[in-house]
Amino acid sequence: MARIGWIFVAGFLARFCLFLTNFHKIFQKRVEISTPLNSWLRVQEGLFLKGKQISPYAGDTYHETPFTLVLAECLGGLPEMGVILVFILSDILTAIILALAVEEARSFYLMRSQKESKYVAEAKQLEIKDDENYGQYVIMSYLLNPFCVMNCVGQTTTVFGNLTSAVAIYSMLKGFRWTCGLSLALAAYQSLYPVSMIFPAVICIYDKEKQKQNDKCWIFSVAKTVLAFLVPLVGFFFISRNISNDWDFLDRTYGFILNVRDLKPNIGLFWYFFTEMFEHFHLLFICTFQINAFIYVIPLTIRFFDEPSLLIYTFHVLLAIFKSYPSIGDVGFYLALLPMWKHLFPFMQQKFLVGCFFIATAVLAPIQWYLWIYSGSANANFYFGVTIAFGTAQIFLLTDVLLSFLKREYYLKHGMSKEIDGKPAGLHLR
Amino acid sequence: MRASTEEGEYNDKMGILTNPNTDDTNRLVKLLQGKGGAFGLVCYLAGIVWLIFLANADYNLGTYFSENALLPGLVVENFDGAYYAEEFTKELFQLDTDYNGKIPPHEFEAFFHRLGLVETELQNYTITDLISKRKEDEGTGTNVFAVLRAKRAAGTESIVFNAPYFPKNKQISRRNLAGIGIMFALADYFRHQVYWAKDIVFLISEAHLGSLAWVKGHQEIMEDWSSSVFRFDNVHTKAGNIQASVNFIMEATDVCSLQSKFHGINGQLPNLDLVNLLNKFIVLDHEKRPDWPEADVKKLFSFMQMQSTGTPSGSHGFFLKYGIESVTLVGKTSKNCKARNPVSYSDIGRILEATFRSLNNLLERLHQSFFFYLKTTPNRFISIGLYFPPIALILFPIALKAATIWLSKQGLNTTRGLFTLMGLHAHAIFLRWVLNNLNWILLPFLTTAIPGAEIRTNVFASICGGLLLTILSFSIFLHWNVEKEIREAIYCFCLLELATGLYCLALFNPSLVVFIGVVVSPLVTFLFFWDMPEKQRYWAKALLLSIFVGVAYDWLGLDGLIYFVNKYYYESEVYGNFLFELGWIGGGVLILGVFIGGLI
Repeated sequence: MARIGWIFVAGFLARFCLFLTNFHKIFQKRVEISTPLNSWLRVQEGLFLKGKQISPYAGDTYHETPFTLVLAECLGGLPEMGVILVFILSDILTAIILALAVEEARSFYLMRSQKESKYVAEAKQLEIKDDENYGQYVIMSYLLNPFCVMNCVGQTTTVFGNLTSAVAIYSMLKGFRWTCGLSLALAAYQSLYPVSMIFPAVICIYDKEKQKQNDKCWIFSVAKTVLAFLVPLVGFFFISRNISNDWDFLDRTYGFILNVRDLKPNIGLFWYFFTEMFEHFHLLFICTFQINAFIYVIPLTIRFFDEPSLLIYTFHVLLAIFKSYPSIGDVGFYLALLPMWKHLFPFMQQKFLVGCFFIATAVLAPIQWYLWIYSGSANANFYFGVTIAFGTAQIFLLTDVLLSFLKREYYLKHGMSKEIDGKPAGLHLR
Repeated sequence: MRASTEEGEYNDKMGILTNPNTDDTNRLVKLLQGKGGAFGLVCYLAGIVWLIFLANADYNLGTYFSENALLPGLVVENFDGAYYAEEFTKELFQLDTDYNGKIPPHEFEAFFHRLGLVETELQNYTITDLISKRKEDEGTGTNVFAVLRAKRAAGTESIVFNAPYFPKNKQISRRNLAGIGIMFALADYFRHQVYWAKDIVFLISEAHLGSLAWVKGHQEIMEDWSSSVFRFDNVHTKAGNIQASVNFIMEATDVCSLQSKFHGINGQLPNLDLVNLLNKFIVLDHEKRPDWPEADVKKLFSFMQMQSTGTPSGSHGFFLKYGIESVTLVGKTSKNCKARNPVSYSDIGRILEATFRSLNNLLERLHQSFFFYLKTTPNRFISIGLYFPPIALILFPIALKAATIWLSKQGLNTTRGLFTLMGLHAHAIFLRWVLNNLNWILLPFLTTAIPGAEIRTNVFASICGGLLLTILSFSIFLHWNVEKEIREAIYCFCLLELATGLYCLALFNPSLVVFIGVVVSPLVTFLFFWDMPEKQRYWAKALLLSIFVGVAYDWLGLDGLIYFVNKYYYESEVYGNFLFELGWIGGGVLILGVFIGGLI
């Protein structure tokens, strides 16, 4: 327990000290941290415009939802230190909630492995152990993860986005339908992409209900969950309409997200492609890229129907890779969830490679940016090379998690021997 | 992190399970364990040999012009002002003696006015800097410049002609008065030509730092941190967007050879087209040697030596820093130059004229050619595509070693290892901080204690104190016992970090990385695997450690440490030792980690 305390202290101090230094301002302007969708400076601009009785969306700077503006208005009343503390505390809260969620997922697997009769006897050693504290690792990897620290110090609104996502994950794993619907609606309302999380939410909540009463009708449960998601979402839209007096915000936020109107470089894959592309193919490729962000949802849901926590994880990774304005805050979020799969680590083969990729790209990105923008010796291709390597590394990580999950399942059911008809066999992700 | 230690059986099983499906991977691990070291050694040696081969003309590339608009050599140069150049030079020498070694700026301004360049301005700058390595750069200075407006275009673009003035130099011939004289003659000549499509700025910057002040003043670059040490006026007479700048220095009144210099801060280089342009004119007209030594490892080495220091070789470094392509033309003298038929002023003038007329043709910024290259002779170069593979090979053993450890060692304690590594870095930063502040605390004390002593001696003394502290605290690590699992993890992470750092550094400054890599790569990968008794091992590591620390600091010399003494950025901007420092110190810290992992 004392150790967790130290982690909290270290996480808090790391953020707080960096807030006080010049890094705060530097991080606010880094493209890897602040995108047009989460930059606090842009929120300030929106707030200023609103204060002048102009629509915050005028001037093409502010692209977030009206709720963010309300939040910023509330925070604007606080002294500077207060704002800093709000950011840090919500990061810490996110870490705690994520830890609770991961503990919940672990106990789910623990329970299942105890119940499961199909598992072979020698699989005992593969089982998740009772005494391991996954939550501690989650807290550590959220609070001390440099990506998360920079995200928090860069004062992005992703901090709050992550908080809502964390609440959504926790409540769906716990089976709290209305909390889940509400937080999921808020997350989707904020940045659109978390909408795919409705699939694992539906599955999770139905599973929980089935545990309580076995003959639960699935249609009824699903409908209720979807409703719990949709009703608040529609409510949010109408409240937003009232706040900003017209429906303009829909286009200025979701239109902005879907059409990728700002091609400022970021760690994602969109910007380079759309700067290079001929204008008349714009629509075609917008559709292709955006479908890419959602298309994996259905097949993965079908394949891993019984594994909602794996789905949650997978979707978060996909979202961080394929969304139109990703930032390292999104990456840090799913990296913090990685300890959830601690029991899969022995099966993962690309750990080393992915780790090297992550380190190398994290160092290279600012260097290439400097060479491109400041000294003028490099060009956009160099920076894009780094972002695409980063994207590849993330996909490697995801496939590695999925493959090792399948492997573990295989060994649990079939034992350790890897022979078919006396010959050594291999497992493949198909 | 993989398994708890009580369960030995579990451990073994997991070992197999790490690569459960592929026996190929297991074979790879075995291969790495058995032959990895030899393979790494082969790579390392191959990289060095390859790099040496690249110096040979058969393996590198001939220069060519990527930017068509430059049209080098297409015009007939008509400069006929050699007589005026000599007259101006004489006049300047006279002024120099009249004013007792420092010509006041208004005299330069008067010169410009006489030539009909009325649009002139003075710019003052001040350095309030305690310890400057170059004495002639200290104090205050005044830049004088005149703008010749473009006749053929709107003047949205400009070229800078910079002839630095070094009034503090003890030798009168090295104050670049001849260079300024030739510039005046060229200014006079340029003014009467009708073809200028770009503004031309004739700048007489006082010392090298004057160029920095001028660029910053012209572009109105204001940074908080520099305003306290480096103050300068903003420039109000603006020329167009600066496309390129040519700096011109005459090391004596009579010069025997001409040379182009282009090394910028932290290994930055100008666009190769610009370098080629100047070299072409120099070589075409003056280096009429029949046979260039085509394979010249020495030339490559001296290029790399220059680049690896990260120090600019002239005023062009300050232009380059702000994205303005820039080179320096230097007139070199030798002992009996006068007897050896010096280069005539009209030839020098024509080279500069040709350069400016080529630059005048530019339609867009210089961007076509290479920015990352190594040069052997004026007409050969080694592009990034050619030099990167051997550099990668030299560093490859480090990455290979890390991979071998990761893949073959079971039960690495990654979490503990990571935390220890973080602690190590924190320790290094703390030491840096102490060293830095120690100097500041000690400096006034030492200056009063030893009056009249040179400031550098004092700095050196305080650095020695800091060094002692460093070694003392490092030696704590020697006594420190760590579990094997953690040590191996630290070792692995340190190697990884070192490899990443060096590969990234190679983007900025390949030469520095070659030098570091050649030393460090075998040191961290091959040397640490003797089986020694405990006691000898202890002494071996103590010896190695102290040698390493000594060499690293020695190599850094005062430059790297003065950079820290002078508070962060300012010196780094001027002398560009930042990466140099980073390379060696970062390397040093990580090597220390490797020591812990590999030896203790």
